[in-house]
Amino acid sequence: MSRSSQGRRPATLPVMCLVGPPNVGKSTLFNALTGARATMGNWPGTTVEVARGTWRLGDGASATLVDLPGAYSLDAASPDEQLTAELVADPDSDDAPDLTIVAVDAAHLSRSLYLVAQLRELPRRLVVAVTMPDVAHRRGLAVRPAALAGHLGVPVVEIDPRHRTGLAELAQTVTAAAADPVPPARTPVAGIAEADDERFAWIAAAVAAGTASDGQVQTRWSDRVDRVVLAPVLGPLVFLAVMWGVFQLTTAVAVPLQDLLGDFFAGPVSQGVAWGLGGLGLGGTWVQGLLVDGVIGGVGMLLSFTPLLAIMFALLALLEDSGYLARAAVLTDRVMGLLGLPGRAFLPLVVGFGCNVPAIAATRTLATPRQRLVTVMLIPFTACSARLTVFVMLGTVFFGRWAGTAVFVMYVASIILVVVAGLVWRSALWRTLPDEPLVIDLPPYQVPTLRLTGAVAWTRLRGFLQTASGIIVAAVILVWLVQAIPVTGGTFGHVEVEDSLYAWLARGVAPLFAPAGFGSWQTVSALVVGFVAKEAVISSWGQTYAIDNPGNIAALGDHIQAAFAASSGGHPLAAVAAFMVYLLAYTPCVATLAAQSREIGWRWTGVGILVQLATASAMAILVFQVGRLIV
Amino acid sequence: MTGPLAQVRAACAAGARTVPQIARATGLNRDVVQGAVDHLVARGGVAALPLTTGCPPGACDGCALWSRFCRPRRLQLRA
Repeated sequence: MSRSSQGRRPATLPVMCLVGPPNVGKSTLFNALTGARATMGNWPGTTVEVARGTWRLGDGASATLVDLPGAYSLDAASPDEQLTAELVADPDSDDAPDLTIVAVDAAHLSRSLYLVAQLRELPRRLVVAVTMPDVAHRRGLAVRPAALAGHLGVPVVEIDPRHRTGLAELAQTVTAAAADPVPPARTPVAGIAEADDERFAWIAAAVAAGTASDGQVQTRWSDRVDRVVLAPVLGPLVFLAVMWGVFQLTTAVAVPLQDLLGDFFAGPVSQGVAWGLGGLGLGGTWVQGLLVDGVIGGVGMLLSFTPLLAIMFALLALLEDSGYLARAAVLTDRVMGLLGLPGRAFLPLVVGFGCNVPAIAATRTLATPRQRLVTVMLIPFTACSARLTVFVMLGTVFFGRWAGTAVFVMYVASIILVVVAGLVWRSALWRTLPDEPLVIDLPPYQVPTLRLTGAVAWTRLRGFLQTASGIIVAAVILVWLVQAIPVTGGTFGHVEVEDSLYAWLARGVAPLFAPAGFGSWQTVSALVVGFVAKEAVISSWGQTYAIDNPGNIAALGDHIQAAFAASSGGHPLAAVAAFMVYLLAYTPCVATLAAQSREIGWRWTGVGILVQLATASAMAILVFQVGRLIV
Repeated sequence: MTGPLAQVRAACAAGARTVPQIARATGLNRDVVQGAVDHLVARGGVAALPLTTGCPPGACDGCALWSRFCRPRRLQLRA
């Protein structure tokens, strides 16, 4: 195909334009019809590129065929579409074609026929070329050209340009149509909306008359699955069952791996570092305390959760890649209606279950400041993956083989918390928030691919590792420093943790949490450190209890159980449940607060902090006080 | 009698969220519903939200994971 400046029209040949929506095979058809006899160039006076070629119609007849830019309708949204609309619709245009061929997609006939509906309201010679019949056949759909032509009032030819079938019939039909009188135009209905509605009614009737379905189109297996997973009652139950399976499988498979990794940090890594430092003459110094008790005890403990998170992220990525998680998101959309929030708000909230920070940034897609404010206020109540890490740890320590169920309960509690908080915010601030009708374009179900599942899981795992190697290391060093400062005994770097500034400060705050059953300084200090990042709850426990067995998960679990038993008066399960609820609802991490302040300002962020602390305290006290009566 | 566009709009307002749900609610051919939805979205009467994997638009700015680990693209599910 050569390039040249386009003239208007050669004097001797009839001009035919090829139009149609994008991606219906129009250019393939053009190339099949014109072969190598085509040129490319800008249409005169515009920057719009069109192709022009000679089409041998047979019996010595030829026509100039112009491939115009793709357009869904004559209502132009771009310069390209503007040119198409002007050329084929303007009755005064010198460039009006003698005949227009409209390419339509057999597999998506309704979407393609709107342009035909508009063109039929003009006095034009038209021929409809139905492309991609093979794709339609695979979907169980067949076009009946004669019946469709009868309804449209113009000739219809089924063609397959890729396999070069139907091209001769198209040439014959076009030759005949060009010699016929211009068919009478349909009379448009007055009013834009009314005219649109009438055109679609005309299209629906044409599709009904001109197509035959073997039933697959209406009742695909994915539709049958969707009827279950999107059902108002059964859908949420399926979702809850799936999530329970994810958490149960995660804990069952990961815990043995986690123990192995914990032993690795507690044994070879700690001993190797201690041996190396001894060789450098730093054995028994504060440097060994920082590296072994601090970094390995804290970060190593956190890193032992890597297998667990890898499995959980992989399972969630499998659900995502299969297309199921998108269905679960649709269920959330119904909850948004309950809260009076716009349907669009569900997406940031769903993202919040992964990480609150991008979820808050995603609220920018919402239409009004009020919608953004309420959604940003709700996002910290979603159980992000950092909180889930702590839940898994506590579930493993306190609930054994029911750890997955414990995590699942916290996940459900998070959803309930979002709903209740949303209702409260709405009643307190605005009764109604404006909404617009929303249609969700669901991806098809598919067999998950290892590549995509692995890529998604790895991206999230790397995020966890980044946090562990960045802000958690900083938090660990800060905690070690405060633990190294003596208050009631010892010297710097050689002080029992209960004699340190860390314990002294935590003891001052701990009584506030006694009504919730976890008023021990070891537990409260972990919560305070968790303000930096929720994973730091684990690393701070790792440091606090790292005296004898840095990085040893089983020993850490024994220490934590003892602390909860002591602070709860013998009701550790009620206390740990209260602690998990508090962790779910209290102030989010600093990164989330920074994101909140950027989106809604410090004043509303401050209000949010107060509300979250009050909510967390009230819920934790309620859970413990009721729970101690049961367990 | 109301036409397909009005029926689709009414089904959306009544809580139908996907093309199959709207098709069931209206009794219209699924392809007609898809065409009507595309048209309404183009006209601004209905919002469309494609659900793909990865974060939603605008989420990268300020995300702690983006700068070092995420690429400036979204993973797309196969069509």
